[in-house]
Amino acid sequence: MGVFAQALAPSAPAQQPAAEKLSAAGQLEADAKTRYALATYGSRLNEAQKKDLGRLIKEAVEPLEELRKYALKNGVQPATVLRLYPEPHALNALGERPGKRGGT
Amino acid sequence: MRNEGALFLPVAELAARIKSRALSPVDLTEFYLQRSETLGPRYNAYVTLTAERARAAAQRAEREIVAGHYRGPLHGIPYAAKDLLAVNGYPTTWGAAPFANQRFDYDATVIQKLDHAGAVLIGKAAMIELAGGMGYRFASASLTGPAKNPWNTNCWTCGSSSGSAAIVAAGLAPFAIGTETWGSILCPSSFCGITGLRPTFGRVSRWGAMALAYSMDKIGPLARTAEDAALVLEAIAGPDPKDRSSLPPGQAEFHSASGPPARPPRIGRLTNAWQKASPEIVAAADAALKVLEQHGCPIADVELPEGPWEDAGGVMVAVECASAFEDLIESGDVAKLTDPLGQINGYAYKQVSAADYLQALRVREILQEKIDTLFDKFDVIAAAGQPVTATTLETNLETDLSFADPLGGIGNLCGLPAIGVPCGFSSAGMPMGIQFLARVRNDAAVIATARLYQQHTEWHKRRPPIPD
Repeated sequence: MGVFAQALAPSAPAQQPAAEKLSAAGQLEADAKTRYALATYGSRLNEAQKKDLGRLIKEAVEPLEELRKYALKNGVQPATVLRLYPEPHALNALGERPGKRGGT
Repeated sequence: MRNEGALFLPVAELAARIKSRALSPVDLTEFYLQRSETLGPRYNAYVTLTAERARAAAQRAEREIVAGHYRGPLHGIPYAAKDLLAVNGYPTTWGAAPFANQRFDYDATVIQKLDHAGAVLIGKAAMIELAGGMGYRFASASLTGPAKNPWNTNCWTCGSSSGSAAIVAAGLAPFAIGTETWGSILCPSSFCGITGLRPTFGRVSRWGAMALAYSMDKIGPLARTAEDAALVLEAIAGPDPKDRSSLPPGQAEFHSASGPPARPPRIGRLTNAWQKASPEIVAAADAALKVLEQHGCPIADVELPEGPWEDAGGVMVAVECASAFEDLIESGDVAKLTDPLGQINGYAYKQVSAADYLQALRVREILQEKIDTLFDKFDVIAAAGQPVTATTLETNLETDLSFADPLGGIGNLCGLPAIGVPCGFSSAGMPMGIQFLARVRNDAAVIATARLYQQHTEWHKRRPPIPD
């Protein structure tokens, strides 16, 4: 979880090396993500940063594995909302935005 | 103003003196400005002092009050705002070198609301770069260097509302505005021995504030007392169509109660908030709950539900932050950040899939239901503010300040209101705190609990040793 929760106030679970906690699939995922990240951004990084980035990506896969294990029924919706736009109060009685004309 | 003790008075007392015209807003502002100019650098507390704006606002307040137009308890009261809030014409740096010269030609909604209440902005408070969104390894992760704790300048204030906490603790302003996505109000208030209020998500508009994690960012006050925090919340809360997450009219507003609550709050003492906490802090938090119990609060043990809540929260912060700072990451300008972790962490954030992000959002839905059931039995749940006291400025936060924070994860993932108040001092003389959380929209419960505690204790009146 380290890579994520180092944000903000720096609280995160005590770490053990991520590679030891990852499943075989998780290890493959981390390796693939690291290769992709280094292919995309590696030219900007020195060798120490590249190594650190690989570690961070590995540490980020571990919480993803935990998260994916959590059983969810199909009907559980994501706790985010799409607020319809525009708001009703922004429209006139004809359902048009004042000052805007329809198609020509 | 000659009495420095007045500088540490709570807003409520300063307001009474201003209202009765025993205290001049111009004098008060001038004194805090001078003090901030002199002492601010000692703590790396400010990015910018807004002296010209402050003097104009203070003179306006004085004219209005003399003319009999008293706006309310913040009228003529100086304050500082975290430097991620847009203030027309002044630099708004987000604490980060790539944005050092950024300016906006408008005020954030919170600044507008405080203007309307007659409060006097005296400066922009230092902060961790990008509010810690990219991660950070050291307290020095800021455009203005490490914020130093007024109780011991070899120690850190915590982040990311670092300057806001230092300013209030050192008596450079009676209150300051901070923000929290995960811990950034509660941790600094705990480390610095002040009161920090994290309002319910959506109660305070974020328009004009730097976005870090759209579904988790909150704005709230750091102050001397819970009563002061409530006064500030009353001024800054309210619906705002410019913030898509703003609570609707009728829900967003907050009215601070002046009397005691209808009944003593029922308190759940969390037994699994921290895996390992300093024995001194555990004892202080237990003693704080004992005080509340002695004053009529029923207290029982309770556990947080188990689940991957922190993992979900972490994924959400990472993905939303990667989106908020897409340009910074893709341009490579993240390399201009101060902290070695912040310079590369965005590249790791970008490797999270949309499916994993949605999984986190769905886990949030489950968690909201689970945590809400706790509040059928309790008005508030309580735990130590932090498991440790302030760390040294040189501490490697990634390796040496790394601990599970399920309460922070749950509280922020679900947008629960929380307050942190001081509840003692360690043997090394550093502040220790306790936090209270409540059901969404029940900010009044955390404030009432903290007020009750502060009515019967003196910890919040302690002042740090500040040499001339």
